[in-house]
Amino acid sequence: METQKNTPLENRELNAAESLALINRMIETTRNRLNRNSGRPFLFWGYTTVIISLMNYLFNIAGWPPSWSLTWFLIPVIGFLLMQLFPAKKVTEPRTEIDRIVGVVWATATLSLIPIFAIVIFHGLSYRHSLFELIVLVMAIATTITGRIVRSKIYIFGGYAGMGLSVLFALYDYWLKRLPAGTVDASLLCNEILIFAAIFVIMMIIPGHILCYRSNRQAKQHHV
Amino acid sequence: MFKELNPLLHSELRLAVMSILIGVESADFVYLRKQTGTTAGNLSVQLDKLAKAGYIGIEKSFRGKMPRTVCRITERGRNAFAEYVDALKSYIE
Repeated sequence: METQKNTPLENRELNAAESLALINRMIETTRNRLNRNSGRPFLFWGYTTVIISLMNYLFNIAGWPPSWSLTWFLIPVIGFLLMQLFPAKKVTEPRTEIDRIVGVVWATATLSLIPIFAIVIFHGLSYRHSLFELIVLVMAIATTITGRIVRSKIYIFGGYAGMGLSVLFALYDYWLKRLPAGTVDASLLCNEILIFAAIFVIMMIIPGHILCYRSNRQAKQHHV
Repeated sequence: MFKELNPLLHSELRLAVMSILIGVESADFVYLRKQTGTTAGNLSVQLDKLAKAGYIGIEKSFRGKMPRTVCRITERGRNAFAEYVDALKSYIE
């Protein structure tokens, strides 16, 4: 609905029907505008996590020194930079209460990763699989809450899928423990990274692409 | 029986601004100008009227070197808008 660009609004008085039409039009236009690019943050974080995960998988398989695993910490750096460089909204676009609430949810979820890392570091490497499991679980909970807040079935599905799939780490660990002693090598342990990456594809990348496609199509229909 | 319509809101431009602000936490001056298609001067005058009535709050700041004006609806503005819509219904029904 682009009428306001063609006919600038004046200071004239309206009749009741015109007033209601104007209120509806403004609310609808703002809502459509705010829905645009809603999947973009999920794509940024999803792709960053998957790419860094696959890089680390390759480093491990190739037998590179353990110090290369510090590249895991590039995820927040790259994700944050991408969000700053390509924000889903322009600076001048309105900020809604929902934006604020969703922001708080993700800030809290991200902060919770600090004690998760600390717990795993202090417990030692035997809790390695728990690190992946906990990260997926926290991100899945944040995704589900986001879906509930913005009423997006795709996010809700992605979040619940992530929660359910986080059990894969425990199942995989259970399977590893049942293998004969001496047969568990580094490559088998590295498969956890592949599980981790695959979950992020299902939980963030696929829902992100679906949402971007839908919101861009909707924006074209409304010509906003 | 028709209810009296708030004259401050019964103007196309001011009503448009209030309709945008009712659905968001805050909106930038540039966004409001784009959405209403009006001139910066006219919008500025109308925003001042709404602010003087206590319907909106206006915050002026800088983002880098660029000045930025952000508007948000107040509780008083929300109530006035709700009453206005309520009064409109009496004309439609």
